[in-house]
Amino acid sequence: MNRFTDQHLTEALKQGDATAFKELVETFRDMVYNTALGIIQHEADAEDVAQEVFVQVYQSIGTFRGEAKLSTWLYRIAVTKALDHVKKQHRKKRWAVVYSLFGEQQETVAAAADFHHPGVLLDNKERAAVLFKALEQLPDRQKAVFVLHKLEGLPAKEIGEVMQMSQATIEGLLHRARNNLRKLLEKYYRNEQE
Amino acid sequence: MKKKDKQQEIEAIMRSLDGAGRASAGDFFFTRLQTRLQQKSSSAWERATGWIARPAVAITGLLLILLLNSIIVVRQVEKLADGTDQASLQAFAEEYRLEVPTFYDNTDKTE
Repeated sequence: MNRFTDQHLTEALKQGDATAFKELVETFRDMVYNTALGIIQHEADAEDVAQEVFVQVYQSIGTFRGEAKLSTWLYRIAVTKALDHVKKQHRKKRWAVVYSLFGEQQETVAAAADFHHPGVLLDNKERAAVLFKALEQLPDRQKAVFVLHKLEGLPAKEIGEVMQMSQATIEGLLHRARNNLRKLLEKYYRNEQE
Repeated sequence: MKKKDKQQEIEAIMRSLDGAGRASAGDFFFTRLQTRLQQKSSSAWERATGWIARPAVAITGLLLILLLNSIIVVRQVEKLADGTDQASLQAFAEEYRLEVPTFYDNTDKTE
């Protein structure tokens, strides 16, 4: 989508044009969903977060000044909301552990099953599941940068615009993410052998 | 697993997302989104009336109003009872000249 269409769409959205909103959703829904899915690793939750992203866009389009591309803005909201969701889930799990210590009945926190991304080639399914397991353990920013780069194919410059960081910072984060993933995978294989 | 094989496997895992396609959101994504938007955009007034109409809130509110009314009524009755007693006694005493004459009342008359 080029800048003119972006501008046109933004103007129409600001005027409350329902057709423009539908067009926006149809154009970007898979992009937003795929980003959320990469970070959350749960299909239903990712769809929920993707919808929340569009709700926020609908409610706050008036504040969008058009300095960045619409897609950049959407990526930014999606990443923030997906990371918030993961944090919330972790908090829930921690409280569930605390409650279980006091013997209070809580929903049982089942160990997360392997996540299989629907877009991954069949030959790579098992390996990708191992990679996603390791990805879960990365710090937020490294996780977001890795997902945007690997699953959405964004170059460092564009990721920088999404994350509001310099290209060099993004490259550094990507480098650290790869190193940390390798270390986690080595640890995984060491534990497998024991 | 040999060290070399392990390293190769790790590299293969690192490349496992290469060429992955985009995951697609469900078929009725927009319909569900519209429903969510309608729920969210219900006006503040609708939300307030909805909250008030909840049985727990409505009953508590009603009980509070009744309690306040009872307190006010009891206080008013007490105040009225005190006031009427005094007034009626005074009126009765004046009617039948039952006031207790004082020393000053007598001196006024003699002068």
